[in-house]
Amino acid sequence: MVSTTVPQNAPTTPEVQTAGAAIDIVGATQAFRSGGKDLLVLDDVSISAAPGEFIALVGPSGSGKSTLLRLLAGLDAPLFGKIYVDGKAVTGPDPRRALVFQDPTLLPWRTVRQNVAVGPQARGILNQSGDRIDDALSLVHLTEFADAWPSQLSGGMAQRTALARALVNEPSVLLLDEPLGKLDALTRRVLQGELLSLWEQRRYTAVLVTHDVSEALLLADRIVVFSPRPARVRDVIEVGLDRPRDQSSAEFIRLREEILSLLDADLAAAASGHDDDSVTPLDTLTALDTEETSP
Amino acid sequence: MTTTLEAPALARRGDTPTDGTVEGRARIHAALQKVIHPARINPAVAAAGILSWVVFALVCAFVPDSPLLPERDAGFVEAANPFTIVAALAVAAAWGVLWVVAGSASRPGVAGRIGAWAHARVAHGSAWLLGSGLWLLFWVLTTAKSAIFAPPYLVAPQEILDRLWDSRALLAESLGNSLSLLAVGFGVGLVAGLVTGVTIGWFQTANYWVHPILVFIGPVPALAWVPIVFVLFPTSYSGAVFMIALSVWFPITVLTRAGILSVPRSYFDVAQTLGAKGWFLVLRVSLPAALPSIFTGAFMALGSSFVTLTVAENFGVNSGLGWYLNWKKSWGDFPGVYSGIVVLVVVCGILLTLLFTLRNYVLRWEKELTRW
Repeated sequence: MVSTTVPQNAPTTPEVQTAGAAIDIVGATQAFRSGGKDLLVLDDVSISAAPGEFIALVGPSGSGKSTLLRLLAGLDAPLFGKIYVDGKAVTGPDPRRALVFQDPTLLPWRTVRQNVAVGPQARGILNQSGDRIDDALSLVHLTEFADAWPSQLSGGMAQRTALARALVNEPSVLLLDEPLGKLDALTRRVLQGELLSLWEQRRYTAVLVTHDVSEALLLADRIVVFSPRPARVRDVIEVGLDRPRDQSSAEFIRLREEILSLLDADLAAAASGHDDDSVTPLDTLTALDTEETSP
Repeated sequence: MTTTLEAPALARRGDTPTDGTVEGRARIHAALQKVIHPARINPAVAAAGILSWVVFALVCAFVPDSPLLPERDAGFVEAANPFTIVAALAVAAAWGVLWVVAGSASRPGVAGRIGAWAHARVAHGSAWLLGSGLWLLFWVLTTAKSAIFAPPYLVAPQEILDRLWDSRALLAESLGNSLSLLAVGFGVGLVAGLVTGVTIGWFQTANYWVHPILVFIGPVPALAWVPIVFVLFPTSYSGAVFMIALSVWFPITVLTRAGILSVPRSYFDVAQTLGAKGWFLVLRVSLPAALPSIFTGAFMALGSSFVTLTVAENFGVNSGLGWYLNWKKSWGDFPGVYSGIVVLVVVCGILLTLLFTLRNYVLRWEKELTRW
């Protein structure tokens, strides 16, 4: 019902060459059937992103953010609506749209280097891609561990490998599905910095799904706030802060409170209205957040 | 372990080795060696093990054979006795040498590595040396030396050695025939099983038609087809190949299919977003992910192929170890039968070990436990 089309603002750093693609999600609606019940997950969602923009999608867990990323990746097709990347309708997966999952999902029988090489190998350009694979590995500081097995890696290293594997294809769109969600706070902080510097170097269009409001504020140009399931675009927040961002600045805290109060209001409404959904309790969201800002 | 408990105040900076110096690296290496190879050699067990083989050799040499032994068996024992004595002493001597070499385990360089290897062998194997020595003593005392367990069905160890040597040409030929038949049958069954398993694991329609057939035909023992197979097939050799292949095909197919069906969907999602399609997904995602399951199938297949092999050789093929056993039995040459069984035991053991080694190499990503 609520269809929010966002004006296309170009990112504010004109001197960097843009390698990203424009994204237009037009009225995407997705539903699943589970246990004989039809479950509406995305309700008429429309979002646009300019080439090279970094947008974040925040919302309660189970609200369909990941579903939207799968649509963008081309792994699923929406029931209604269309998804365009650089003006072309998405019909299936494409290596130029890379997806990084919450779990690293490395192929366990391949070494780190071989995992990074999956993309070039699948596209039949493995022989010409040696340098690019090396570059991707050094980009995420894993050159030393190129011959390690995934089972030997720490969570942060595994997720870095997954990033390198996505970046080796030189994507114009990088889809990040809570990529830091399962990492410890320290590793998460380090990788947030790396995500930002990678994006600043490569200038792909980034779409980050997260339930961590501070993370979204730290990284994104714009933040799309989702309602609880079925997901609708609740609001779009422009983050006008210069990078690197100071989590203790007044503006940062104000934006964080604004987004959290949006989420709180929705969750409270959902809880009082109908209690069939397994929505994340309020305090989980806020707790995660205060922990982030304390130092 | 205790060094860390000693008053830490006494430890001076500089006592802890760093990997910046050659000497420091050697100390770290030696310390790791102790942690990684904590197995200790029990001198009593090692000495008793060597002693048991020496005693076995002495018993063979100096205790007279029982007069109750039939003349033929006494002849067999007599013929192989010198070799048995030398072999037993050689085993004891080899173990002694290994034990001495194990002493250099803490030395640096190649000597240290050989020493560590010997140390691990001796620490791990001494109990088995003792056990096997005691078993041989018991065996030779109850058969050749006292005839408590008497021929024709129970025979002395020397008799088996004698028959092994005596029939070496025929045994080698039988072994060669068995192995080539097994290799062809196993190879055909393996390829057919992999192709069937991947096909029905991957294509719904193929699964719809083939899986019910698999469920009903597969569990029927391959040997039940004997009466038909040797009529339908042009040669008995091709019939035997078919039966071995059939007994290999079933477990490989079932476990390949199961392996492919249990590949996490996220692997395909990842591969597809990276540009993978079609055969890449089958051969580079499905198949490697299914390998642990496929190897389980291969172990089952190897077992059932031995069964089918030894029986099939007695129908029409008339060569190979299975046939050799029956032929020796028909002559009442039970030492000969045992010698054939010894060859079978050794060969099956080697093949199974080879498969284990291959599995451990191919699936080394599963086992590697060093973590960062």
